[in-house]
Formats: sequence, C-alpha cells, structure tokens
Amino acid sequence: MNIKELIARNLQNKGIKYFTRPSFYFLLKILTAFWRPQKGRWPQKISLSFYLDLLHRAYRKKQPVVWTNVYTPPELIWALGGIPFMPEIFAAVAASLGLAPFFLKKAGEAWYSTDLCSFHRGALGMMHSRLVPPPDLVLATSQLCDGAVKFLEAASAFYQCPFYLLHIPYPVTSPAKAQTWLAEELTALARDLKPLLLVMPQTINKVANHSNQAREHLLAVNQLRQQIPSPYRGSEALSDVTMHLLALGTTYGTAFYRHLEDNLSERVKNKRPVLPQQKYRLLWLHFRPYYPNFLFDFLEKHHGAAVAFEEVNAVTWEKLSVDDFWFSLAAKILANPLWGPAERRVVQAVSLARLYQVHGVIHFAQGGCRQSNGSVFLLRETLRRHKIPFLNLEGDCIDERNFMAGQTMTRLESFLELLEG
Amino acid sequence: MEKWEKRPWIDVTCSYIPVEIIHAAGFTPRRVVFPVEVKNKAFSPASLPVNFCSYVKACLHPNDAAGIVFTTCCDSMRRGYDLITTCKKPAFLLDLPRSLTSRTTDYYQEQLLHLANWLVEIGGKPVTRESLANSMTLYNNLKYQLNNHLQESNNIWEFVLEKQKLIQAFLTTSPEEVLKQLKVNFWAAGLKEKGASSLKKIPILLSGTTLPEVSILTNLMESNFNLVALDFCGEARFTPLADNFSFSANFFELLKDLTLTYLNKPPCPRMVFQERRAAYLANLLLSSKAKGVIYYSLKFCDHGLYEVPLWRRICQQQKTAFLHLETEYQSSISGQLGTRLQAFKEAIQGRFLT
Amino acid sequence: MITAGIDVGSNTTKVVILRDGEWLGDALVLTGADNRGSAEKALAQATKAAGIKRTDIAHCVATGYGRINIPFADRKITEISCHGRGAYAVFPGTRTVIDIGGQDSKVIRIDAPGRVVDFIMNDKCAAGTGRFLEVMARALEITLPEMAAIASKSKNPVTISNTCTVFAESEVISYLAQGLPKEDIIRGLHEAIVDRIESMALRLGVEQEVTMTGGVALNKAIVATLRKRLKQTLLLPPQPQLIGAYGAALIAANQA
Repeated sequence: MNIKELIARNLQNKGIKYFTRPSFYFLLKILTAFWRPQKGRWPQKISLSFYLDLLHRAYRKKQPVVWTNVYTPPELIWALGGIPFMPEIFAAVAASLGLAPFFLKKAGEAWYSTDLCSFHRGALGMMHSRLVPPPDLVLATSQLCDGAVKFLEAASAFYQCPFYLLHIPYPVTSPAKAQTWLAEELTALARDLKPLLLVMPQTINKVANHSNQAREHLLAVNQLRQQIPSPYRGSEALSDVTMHLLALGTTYGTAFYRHLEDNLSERVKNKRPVLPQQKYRLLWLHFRPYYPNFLFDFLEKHHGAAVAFEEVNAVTWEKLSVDDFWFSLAAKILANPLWGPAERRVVQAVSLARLYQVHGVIHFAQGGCRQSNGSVFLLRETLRRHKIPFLNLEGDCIDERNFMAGQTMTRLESFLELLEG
Repeated sequence: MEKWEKRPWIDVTCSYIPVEIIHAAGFTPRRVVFPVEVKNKAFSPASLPVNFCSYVKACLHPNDAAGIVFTTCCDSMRRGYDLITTCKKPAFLLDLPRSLTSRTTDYYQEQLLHLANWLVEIGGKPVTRESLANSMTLYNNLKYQLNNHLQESNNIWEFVLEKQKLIQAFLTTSPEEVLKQLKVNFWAAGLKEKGASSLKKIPILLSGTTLPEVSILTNLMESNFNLVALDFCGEARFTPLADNFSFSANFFELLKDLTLTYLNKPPCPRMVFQERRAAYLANLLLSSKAKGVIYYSLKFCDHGLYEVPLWRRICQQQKTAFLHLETEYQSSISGQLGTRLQAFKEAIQGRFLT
Repeated sequence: MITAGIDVGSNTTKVVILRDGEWLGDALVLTGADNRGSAEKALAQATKAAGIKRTDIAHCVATGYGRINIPFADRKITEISCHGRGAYAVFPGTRTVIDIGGQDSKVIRIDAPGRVVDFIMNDKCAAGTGRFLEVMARALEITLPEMAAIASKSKNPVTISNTCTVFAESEVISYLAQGLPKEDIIRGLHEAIVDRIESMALRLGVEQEVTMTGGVALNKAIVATLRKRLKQTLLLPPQPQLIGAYGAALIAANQA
C-alpha cells in the first residue's frame, strides 16, 4: 500500500482524528526541522515548514483562525492577529496528494453541483469531512469570483461562526475614490474585529516589513526569470504561488523568496538552466492542474517548452506603508489586474508576453471558472492582434475526472507545431 | 405619437438597477426578457464559453436600445459587460454591493451618481431633483396601481400566469404605456372568470435565479400545479416602491431614498447574508402553505447552484418536497425534465400505495 | 381483475400482466424506433404467455420514456413511481431503490407505507447508465454478458477519469493501445458507473433495505461493486428489468 492509499483509507475511518490534532503537525514540524535539503531545495523546506506551522497553530487554537478566499491579502489577517486559512489552497494540496476525488465526492453528497468550481467543491468536501481547521470567523472579500463568497458564506453557516464581507470596489470608475473608500472599509473592519482578534500596532509594522522584504525578493526572482533559458520551472512556480497568496507578511514568506532568489541567481550565474534544451518559452494564465499529471513533463521533457512566467506570479502592487497600512493595503487589493474589467488582465498578459519574450500564451481553462473563461474571447483577440499565439486549454485544476489526457496532449502538440511554424 | 413614445430605450439586466434614474434622464428603461429578437448570432454565443449563463448571452444580442446597464451581480454579467464594450455599444456597469450597511449604502448611492452622469454622456438629460422626483412619483403611482390590481385576485393558477405576463410587460414597457393600459383595465380583463379549477391542483412554491420564462410556467400549469408563491426577480423580489420620499427632499435625499429602497428589497440569491435570505425563504414557504418547492435555475448560474443546498435544508425542516430543475434560458420542460416533474407530482400526491 | 403494466424503455419494452396482483405472464422485446409497435408486440406476447385475450385486460398503465406514445394505456405514470411501487411489492422492507436503466439511472427513496418521498436522476449524460456499458462493450468487441465475467477477473482496475461517455470511449481505446489488460479496463468501467450511482445515492441518503432494479442489475460485477461501495446488502428481484412494468401493473390494479 502506498502513502496515498494509506491516507485515503484513514480518511474513511477513525484515522481521521490524527489529521486534526495539533500534535500531529507539531511532530511533522520537528521532523522537518531535521531535514537538511540539498542545495536548491531550501525553498521547499521553508514552504513545508510554513504549512505545517500554519496547521499546527490553526489546530492549537491559541489564535483565531480566519477563513478567507485566495487574493485576500494575507497581510490583512496576519496584521489583525489571526491565522489566515484559505481552503481553496488546501483543495489544491489535497489534489496534489491524490485525495481530491474523496473530497469532491463529499461535496456532491452535500448537494453541491459538479458545475461549480472544483476549488470550492474540494474545499466544501474538506469542510464536510471536518478535515480542515474550523474557523473562528469567516472573512470574504468580494473580488475575483462569486464562488468564493458563496462558498465562504456556506462555511460560516456550517460552522455557525461570524461572517464578514469586505466589498471590493469594482475598478471601473474613479480609482482614487475607490481606494479611499476601501481603506476606510479596512479600517472599519479592523475596528469591528478588534474584540475577536488581536490588533496590535507592532504586528502591523512587522507584517508590513516582512511583506515588503518578500516583495523585493519576488521582484528580483521575476527579473531573473527573464533570463533565457529559464532558471525556474513553471510547474514549480505555479505551486509556489501559494506562498505569496498566504505567507506574505510572515518570516516564512521572506525567507522563502530570499532563498528562491539565491537559487535562481546561482543558476543564472553558473549557467544551469532548468531546461538546457529550451526550445519554446510560454506564458501561463490561470492556475495549473494540481493532481499528478503528465502535462508539464510533456511540455518540458518531450518538447523543450518551458513555462517562462505565469500571470499569477506577477508583482502588481506597491510596497505596503507602515504609517498608512490600510490605505496601502487597499491599493494592493485594487492593483490586482485579475479583478475588474477583463481588459486589465489582457493588457497585463500582452506586457508579460513581451517582457518574458514568450513564443505563445496558454490559458488553462478551469472548468467552473466563469470569470476567467469569460475573458478568453478578449485574450484571444488581443493576443492575435499582437501576433502572439494563444491556446485555451480546457481542463480542471482539482477534479481529474475533467482532465482529458488524449485531447489535452493533441491540443498541446498542435499548439507547439504551430509555434514551430 | 406621444412624447414618451419617442424616448430611446435603455436595457437593464438586473432588478437592483433603479429604473427611476434612467427614466429621469429621458430614457425608457427596459428589462431584458425573452423573447429577445436575435438578429446577429455571430458575436455573442461564439464569444463566450459553452458552460456560461444563457441569460447573459441573451443580453448581448444587438437590438435597438441606446445603451445597456449591467450590474456586478455575477462573474458572467461582468464578462458580458466586457464583451459588449468591445462592440462599441454604450454600456454601464453598476457596482452593486452584496451587503447592506451604512457604508455600502453610501457606496451604492455614489455609483448611482456615476450612472446618472453616464446617461448624460450617451445623450440623456441631466438628472435633476425635479426630474428624479417626477420619475419616482410616476413609478410609485404605477406600482401602487399594479399592486392593487394584483391583490384583487386570489392565488389561482391562471392568475399567476397572467400576473407574470403583466409584470414582464411592466418591466419591458414604458411606465406611461402601462398606466394608460391600466386605466382601460385591459390587463385585468378576463382574470376573474378564470381559475376556479385551481382547487384540485398541487400548491407549490416556485423559486429561481432570474425571471421565469412564461413557457416554463405553462409547462407547470399543464402538469397540474398551482403556483401559490413565487420567488423571482419579477415576483417577490420585484422592483420595489420608493414610498418614503417627500417632494421637499433635495436631490441627494431622493437618491438616498432610492438607494435604500433597492438595497432593502427581498434579497436575491446573490446577496449576503445567506441567513437573511434563508429566513426570508423559510417564511415565504411557511406562509404559502405549498406542498412542494420547485427551484428552477439556469445552467451554469453559480448563485443558483449554491442555493440548492440551502433550499434542501429549508424543505427538510418544513417537511416539504423539493425538486431542482435546471435549463438554459428560453427552453421549455421536456423529456427527462418532464419525467422529473411528473414524478415529483406523483410523489407529493403519494397515490401509489399498496 | 386483470391489469397490465407496459414499460417502454430506451432499449427494451417490457409488459407484465397480473390477475388480482398475481403474476400471469410477461414479455420483453427490443424497443426500436416504433414505440407503439413495440408495445403492441410485447403486449401480444405477454397476453399469449398469460393465456388471456387482450380484451380481458381491465386496466393498463404505461411507464418509461416512451409512455406518452402508448394511446391504448389508461394512464401514464413515471418510471420513478412504478419502480418504487414494484420494488416495494417484491421486498416490502425496501426504503431505497436503485434503478439503472438503458438511458436513465435513478435513486428513489420510499417510506414505510411505500410512498415515493424523494428521488434523484442522472443528468443528460449517459455515464452511469446501461448505454455507457453498451458503448464500451462495442469498443472492446465483447458482448454485455461477457463484460461482467471478465471484470471479475481483474485485480488492478484502471481509472477511467472521464465522466463523458464519448471521451471515456476514447480513453478506453487509448488504454487498449497501451496494451493494458482488457479485464482491468472493463473493471475500471464498472467502477466508473458505480461512482456515478454511488454519488447520487449518497446525496439522497441510503436507507436500508436497498433494492436494485433495471436491466443493469443483471450485471453481477456492477452489483458486487455497488454493494461494496455502499456497504449495504442489495436486494435483487428475480427479474429486475421487469420491475417497472410490474409496478405499473400494480398501480393499474389500484387505479381501476
């Protein structure tokens, strides 16, 4: 029996209790501390330690656990003294361990339709299996997609805990006013949450400084990635993105990106690209399938196609201000090109395609993601005007039943043949 | 031709858009409902993915309107707005908050000002205190009269169908025209003679995400159901009355009143907090004495899909039968959906005992 | 009183004739394109088997997807009510019925007096129905009865990830091209069907006793897999494919 089967079997019987004990994660944390990774594997160790620490603290319950959605700046919750928990990220973690089918089935049992986004279905399944740290409060930010708000609302009803919604202005009219309004909302939210969380000014300072340091390293990493051939695997970058979604504002976030920058500098300096025979460079839009699959091996090993950069790793925000933290946080939220009219995203895609000198752009069309898939028409038209080849690759990030191996392979091969011209 | 008959149309896509403002700017607001005249299919259906809301696709069909107003009510609507702006059709996106607080109310009021400015940009008249007060009075008058008509009849099936037709006509016709028709009592004609046969029919509550297509209602009628309560944009969540305003109010006070009226109307599935909607639905079901709930949603509507577990919970608590039907917009109930509907009826009637 | 139940399914048309609830005769014919003709043919065969004349039938109920095309039926009732009624008559302890037919699969909950209280049907897709197995049997060039026997030999089933019948077929073909053993592929297909059924059953809630009806209940491998997944004993009527027609004939007796 392999580890995957062992976990899956335990999920269905009493073994489940071990996964919800703080001591379980504490033990793993200690074991990880003894791990001396090879050179270049330090970021992986930091990321693993971060997640184990997060789960340990979330189950220990010394600090309140705040469930929130991806793209809520984690700095917001760290600064308020809570532990941010993004169930969508853990749905991806479950998928990478091959456990998503179990949770997706659980969500189905609770009447959540298979037409809904699998990130949220996976998370709902984990919630119904009681395999995630329960929230003390739920904070949804109304950005990016509807599913996130609805799913978090359902979570708050399920756990009978307070639900807060932060309305994120839609950036179409008067951006300056939107920022002021949002900053006021954030300030009011911090005030409202004061009795529930621990708001301490020194925490805000610490969080802002860590976030800014990590941002500097991430900027450097992104600059190093402009090198040809590529010093960093796109498949890894699409997994590591969870660190800037969740760990910014912590020591882990800073350490992770510092080590990553060192690794990449070393690779560039010593001419050790990840794909020496790199033939094509690609820009990746949206996330990737997180369950075990052949997609990136197929691109990289069989066809020498490297994912040079991903839109989700772009640094789109300015430094956070220690003096005017909420105002700068509002600016960060509103600067996300994935929120707002699709044109913002399209403009960013064109500029990233130029900057990273890619041969083509792939949009991974997550089955239930209306906001992303609805912008494919504009992406295709605009990229065509700029003579940048574009492939809309239909699939699913979490639900492997919606991944069509044969069709995906054919589409990718045809696209690469097209790049060859 | 009367003056109001020459006013250009502005299409609206959501029941949270205050039509009074559009009217005050010299346009006639018109809700996009079927049947939509499809003149050019080359653009919308092909541009959006297959697994995408069919109502949004319907909103994109070219027509004679001078502009269209969307809200940020869902991801699909937002993308619909993106798409329509590429074909140079004047479009406005109203950022609609999901919750009701003093801050979100102020925010929405600000958005309504942007809407008024945009209406001027596309050739409308500036919305003034007088024009807004006049439009609000006109709509209030109309809604009062409509309500009086609607309350005259019992909850009988034929009436529900007529009522839906009336409401949909109201949403797609100029207020002046509806008032004119109401004066001659055109709409209510024939209603009173109908409907005596409703007693043997099964009382159900019909709920859903958007306006029910009339053919869906006809399908239900043919399946021997009596619709005793409806929860749709065009029913309980119908455009509300702004009845607190006074003529002495200044422009911003009028706008505030309008904002509060719209944000306070019975919540749609998109709004938070879910418990507010759950309580509303539970009361609606309890007071309707319905024996079953049919939840009718459009394919790929996330808000609708998230409402299914909620409705099941309420129905379980009230020991009421529940059926979820999912179709594309402008399609009728046939084939397997028809079997489900018939089986639902058979289950409620529980006739096939040993 | 003699009553008849006619179940016009997508694959086969079944007729059951009862006298005061006692089984007199039955028939099963292929449906084909002419629903009415198949119903006539099946009815003729059944009356012959029962040793009665057609005019002896006092009341007749039609069910199944072709029920609307049977003009001589006195009533048209859905297959959900009929399978519920039929399964309950065979096993009065039945609280959950799982019916897998040619084009639809359903899970039906019934209460102690035998009333249908809730149900769920598959969506438009054919995965999780008899049609799925048929398509796959054709791709694998074997007969349906052979499928179940071969599936039981597998120790290492492959995962059929596609939920769509058409794509699953191409997945099967690619597995064959990779040289994977047929029994593992077939077993994988069975698991895929059971996945669908299991998810519907768990959604509705499974209450004991569980009775399986419909033609697919004749497939021992499906029954065994489903039994294992649901951790429930599955009751199997002697001729599961006739339960819809049987239920229709019983309802006809009540309605007459």
